[in-house]
Amino acid sequence: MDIDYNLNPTLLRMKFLYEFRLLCLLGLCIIFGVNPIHVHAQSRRITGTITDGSSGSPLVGATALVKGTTQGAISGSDGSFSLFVEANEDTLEVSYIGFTTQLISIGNSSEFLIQMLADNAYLDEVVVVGYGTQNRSDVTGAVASIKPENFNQGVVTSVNALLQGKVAGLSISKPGGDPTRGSSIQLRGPSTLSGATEPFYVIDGIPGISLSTVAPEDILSIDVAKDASSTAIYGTRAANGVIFVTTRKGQAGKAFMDYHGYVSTTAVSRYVDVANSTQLKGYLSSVGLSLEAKDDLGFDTDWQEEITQTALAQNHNLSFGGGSSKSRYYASLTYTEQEGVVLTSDQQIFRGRIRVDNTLWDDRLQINLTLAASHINNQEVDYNAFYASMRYLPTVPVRLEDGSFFRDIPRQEYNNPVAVLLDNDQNRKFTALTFYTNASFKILKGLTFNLNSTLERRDELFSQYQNREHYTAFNTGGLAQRGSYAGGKELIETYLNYETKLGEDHGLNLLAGYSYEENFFNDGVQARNVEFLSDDLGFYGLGIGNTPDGFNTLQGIRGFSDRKLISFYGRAIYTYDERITLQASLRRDGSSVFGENNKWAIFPAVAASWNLASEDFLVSSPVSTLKLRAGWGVSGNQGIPPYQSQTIFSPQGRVFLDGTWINSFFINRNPNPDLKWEETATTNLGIEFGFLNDRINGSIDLYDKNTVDLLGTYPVPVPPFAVDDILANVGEMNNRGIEVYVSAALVQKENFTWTSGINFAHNRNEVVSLSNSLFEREEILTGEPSGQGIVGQTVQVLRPGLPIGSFYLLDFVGTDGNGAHLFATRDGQNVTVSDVQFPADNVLLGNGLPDFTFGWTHTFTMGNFGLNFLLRGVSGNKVLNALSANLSRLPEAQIYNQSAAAIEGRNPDNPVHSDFYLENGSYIRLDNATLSYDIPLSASFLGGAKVYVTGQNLFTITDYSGLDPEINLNTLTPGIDGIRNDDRNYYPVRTFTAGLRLSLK
Amino acid sequence: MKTTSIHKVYFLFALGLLMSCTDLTELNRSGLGEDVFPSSSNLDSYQALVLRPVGHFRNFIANQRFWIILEASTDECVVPTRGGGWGDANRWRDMHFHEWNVNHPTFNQAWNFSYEGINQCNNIVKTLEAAPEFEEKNSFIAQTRAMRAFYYFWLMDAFGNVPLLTATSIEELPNGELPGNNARAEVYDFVVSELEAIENELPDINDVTTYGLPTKWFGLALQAKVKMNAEVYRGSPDYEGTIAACDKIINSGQFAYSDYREMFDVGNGPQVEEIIFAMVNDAQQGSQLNFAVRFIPSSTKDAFNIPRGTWGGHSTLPEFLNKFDDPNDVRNGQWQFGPQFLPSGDPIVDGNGNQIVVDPDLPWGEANDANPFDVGSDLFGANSVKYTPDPTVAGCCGYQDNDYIIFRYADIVLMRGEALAKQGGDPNLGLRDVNDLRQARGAEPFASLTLDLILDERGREFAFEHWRRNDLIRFGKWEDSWGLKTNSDPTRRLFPIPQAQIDANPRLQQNPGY
Repeated sequence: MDIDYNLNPTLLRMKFLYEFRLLCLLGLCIIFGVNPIHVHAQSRRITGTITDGSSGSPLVGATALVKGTTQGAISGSDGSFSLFVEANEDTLEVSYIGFTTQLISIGNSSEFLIQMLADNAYLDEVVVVGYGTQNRSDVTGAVASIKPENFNQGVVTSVNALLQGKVAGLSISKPGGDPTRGSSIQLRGPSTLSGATEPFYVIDGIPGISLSTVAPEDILSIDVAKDASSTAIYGTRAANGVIFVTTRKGQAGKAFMDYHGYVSTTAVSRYVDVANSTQLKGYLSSVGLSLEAKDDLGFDTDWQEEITQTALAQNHNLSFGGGSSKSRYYASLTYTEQEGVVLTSDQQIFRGRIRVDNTLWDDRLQINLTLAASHINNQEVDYNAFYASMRYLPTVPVRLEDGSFFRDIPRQEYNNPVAVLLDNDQNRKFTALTFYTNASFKILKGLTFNLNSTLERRDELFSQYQNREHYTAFNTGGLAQRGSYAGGKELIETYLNYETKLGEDHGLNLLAGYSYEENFFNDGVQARNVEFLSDDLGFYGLGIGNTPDGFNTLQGIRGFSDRKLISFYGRAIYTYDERITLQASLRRDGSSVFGENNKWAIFPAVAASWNLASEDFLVSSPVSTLKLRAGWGVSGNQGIPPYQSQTIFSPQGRVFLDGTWINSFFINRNPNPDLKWEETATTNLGIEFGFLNDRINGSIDLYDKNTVDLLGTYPVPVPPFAVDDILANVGEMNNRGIEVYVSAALVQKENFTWTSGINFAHNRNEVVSLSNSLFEREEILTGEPSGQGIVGQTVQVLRPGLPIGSFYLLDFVGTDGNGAHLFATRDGQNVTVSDVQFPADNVLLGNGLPDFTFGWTHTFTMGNFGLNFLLRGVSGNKVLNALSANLSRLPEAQIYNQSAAAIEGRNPDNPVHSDFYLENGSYIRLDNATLSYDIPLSASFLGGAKVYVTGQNLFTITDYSGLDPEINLNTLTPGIDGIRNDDRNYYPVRTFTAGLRLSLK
Repeated sequence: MKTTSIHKVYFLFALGLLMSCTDLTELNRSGLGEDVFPSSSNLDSYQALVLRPVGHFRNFIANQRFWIILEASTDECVVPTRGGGWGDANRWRDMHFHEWNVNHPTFNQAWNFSYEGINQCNNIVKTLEAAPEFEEKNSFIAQTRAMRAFYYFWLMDAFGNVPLLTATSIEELPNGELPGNNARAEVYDFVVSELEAIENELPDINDVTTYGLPTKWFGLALQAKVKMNAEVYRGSPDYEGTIAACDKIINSGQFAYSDYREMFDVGNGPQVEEIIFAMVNDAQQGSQLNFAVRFIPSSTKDAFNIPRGTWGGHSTLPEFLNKFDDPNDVRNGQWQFGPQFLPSGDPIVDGNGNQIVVDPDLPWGEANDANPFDVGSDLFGANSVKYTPDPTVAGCCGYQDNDYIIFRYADIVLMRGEALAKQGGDPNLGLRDVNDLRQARGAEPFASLTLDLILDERGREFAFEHWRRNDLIRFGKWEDSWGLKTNSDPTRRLFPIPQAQIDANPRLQQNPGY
């Protein structure tokens, strides 16, 4: 076998060749080299009937497969099947959706009556919960479990990206295709004004450790706990939900080695439609103007294309494991490189993980240790290049004849976009190292003592060199900056777990524990320097700049901080006959970051569930699962930086004193000894259902999530306060919603299956109050899209009774005779911008939060082929296309390029944000589609081989005219598609991936 | 029984691990806590505090803080919309038209700037008073009180009836409540009594050791300024007070006229004899002065060797420029207009080879039918280059090294002349002082004087030096029309109490007319 590189020119361009790829080729050769020749000489025919063991009725479409081969048959309308087997083939594998797969010894029999038993796989599934696991049947809260086969495929390097679109109510967005930036994530709507919005991550039972060490291939399952009754056991950090990540470990007697590799190519999926030379010059001449001679150089440069490229990515993961009942191991190594579609943008990730498990002392002591490490090397880009690429005149070249960049320095905000990128070398490396260990010891029957301990170190090294021609650093003869900071965590948790049966049917599980955690941040130093004689050394030359007198080389140095969290927790679970579960938990958390008077808080939760399907009246009905759940609990948010409750004195500017400059000092923060956590109380009602042996199954959850004591920065009068704002707990916010998940095995035919799952979430957010007895606010104007000439125009409002993200803008009513925008004033006049009063003339014009979000997956199998795809989208939200406003500056068309829409629109005025730029943000996106083929090979050492191709972001249906309707929804100001240094301008991308999964045993 | 006791041991061990540390005390490592700072064993720590209100004052001229409300509302400065730039949600337009409302963001900035300074002083006075005795203690306290009076002066001048607060915590306030407004006259009395009380505690040296600090001469200049406006602030004049304070400064012999253009140059500093009090700026150490970047059109920046792009926003009005009518007056040089030349003498040309010209006229209504305030380009309106553009500016915002002068000798002389004229009811009583200044600036002396001539003289002398609004109100000219401004509502003499402040303290009463 030989891969024909000539078929794919992008592959030819691959500039990377690591040992991993050689290995991949070697693997392919092995597989195809050992392709066995089927011999039918000694085959014989066997027949059988497959029935439902409980009813006796025949099962149509069940699969009977000779184990270890691809030979099989599907049962017909009477449940019968027939097939040929070889003499050396001794096992038949019989499977049917909703039933337990059976292995039948063939022996010498030629006729088989196979009775299938209903598989309560769904209810028997083990779900990870805080400090333990539970059977799905006993779970009382809203917990979604995602297995690797359901993960998003393609170039996916983070846990969040695996889940995008998969879990109802979990909003994940990654605007733009910057490989160095992560996605934002939010569960069940915004519930904080300034605290953390990320869910809390628990990896292998260890709370709050770095996710960066986890490669997608290392993951066994992800469980998303959404309601407070499941999350309250994590107290102050759980208000945004808890995501449990369980990684793979070695299994006794099963040695394996897996390889997963892929290569991919990524291109920009959409550019901003700006004028080309002809359009721009055409417009200018139509209004009697022309470009200046020095700008009209006869080029037609597409600047957006000039700063972008077709990007390549590759991933190689090698994992292996095995062991005995006493001792097991798992190891994995992953290398991922992902170029960005913007010049110089690139990310490399190295990940390594080793886990060893020992079982000792007559199986009473279990101990395991994990060492996980990651190194991420990000080559970042200056986001100013994007706006520049849309505004630079198309009529000038990228470079002059001598190879140097075309530049026009005096012109404001006019920097050659290619030079913006290439004059800047900006690198950031993150290294994380995590050790964690868990020991559990059975003291008595049912009583287990557990000890978790963790040590984590995270290092960040950032380096930047802006060369001597860089658009800002040319002033200073170049600028070099480097900084190195460490962070880390130490954690110890102990808990006792007691599990017992009282009589036949009554189960009791008690838990009591203690946890101590210390985190530190920004332990390090940074420096900068200017005035370099040469660019040759880049940032490595930091030390040889000609530091001018008074230049502060330490500017920007971060302050060290640390925080501590101490917790006591307990939980009681009572189960009755796998039918009824009652659960109560209590956590007392103390966090150092809060005020002296409020360091400790209590987080209670109660919940109950009832499996009706086990009740007599449903046993012989089509209902295979029916479970009701109800829960209430309180969780908290401690997501504020340390030391915020204390007064400190800090240097606040240098002052001239007798010929020298010295630091002046003053208080820089108001003390707030009452500072405490936000508390979120969630009530959750859920129903889980399944029909026809769970061939159709799903769940519906209703929730009411109320957050009080919102952590926010409130303005206070100075004096008597020392500083004009204070971090305090003021206000209340509510989220109510419904989440629906339904999955159905739609087709179960011979050689063809189709399963579809849909998740749907609706959330209604409301700011209930922004005041308390001490602080009062009627509203807060938010959202200031930046832009020359539109400084200070806010576009959203936070106001009690309204949701977050309410657009509060000028009401565009049409244009005057010259095309100038007219706006309605509060007294009913239609006026141009010069007669508008801000914000008095603003009106409420819709919301940036969607009415609902959904994800719709389909999985098809046809023989060895599999196809799955994910459609996801949002509906009912508005997006302010602030970028479009900023590209509509016709008075400047002689010096800056304009959007094609602006030229068409002919508005002679400066841009002002109004609902003219407010667009429907709904979209449906074919986000992820994978076609796979199981290579039908059998060899004693082969566990499986699969090749696949994946497309990401294949198409989007939307009315939105901007770059990408998928903008960050998980902020305080959702729905603003702004410009510059936010995540929003990096071009959206489309990716195609070809991959191989190979398993040896 | 052996197993049982082993179980007990396990259990106790487990319990021990369960009940470890519960200490959550936060030890702050990112700043100095009030328990350790300042310390009497280190007097420099007190000095570091005392300098804070002095350093904070640099924000006076920061973008969108205080200076701009004193300038963009007058006839000497306007920030028109210029094509795609400077629309900024009408903040500049409202300032020019005197149509600002209670939500204008800059007022809140100005208010906060002042009270931040006052609050620093309140805290520092309290800390110093509680400190053990040391040699500089009384001087430090006096300097801090002088700075507090200075901040209150600006606040009272701009907003009128502002709350007078010396408390440093909510507990010190009656009923634990924020106070309502004090009458402008009460604030006036506070400022005057404070300045008089500390006059002799302030350092009376005027050299490099006190440059940039509140000296006795700073206190007297402030006294003169406050009393000059007594009629505006409290309803009755105090010309004697102004004259007495001015006499003390003039008779000290420590100050004299300096060369007008050099006084504002990049290298100005303690050597400039005319400076009584200046904000000391250094681009590296601390500066908020970026007038060149804010004023000068980008296409003309090479006339001043400015190495970075400029924004070109603020200009003067043609009617104000017309006041510069004496061709020999050195002060004429503070404006940029007309054909532009490189320092070498070659013309600055645009992309088509035509020489760039700054037109001092502001063609209201001609560039944009929809918005008469839009003049279309940054090449309209003469620009102030009084503070010589700094050819070494760098960084984000083009901060300059020029020290920004607050009080100078010329102001003392002109205030004395004005006070004498008004006190005696005869403008010509000020003739000697006004002509003294005019001669220093190379202008023809007046034969006789009117109050309008005094105001115009102040305009020429102090253009873009933060006094124009104060002068126009004192001379009763605030309600005149200029540029597109026709609003003659006398309640605009006070800016509104910012709505954000009323939201934070409902006991604050809005000024009349808002």
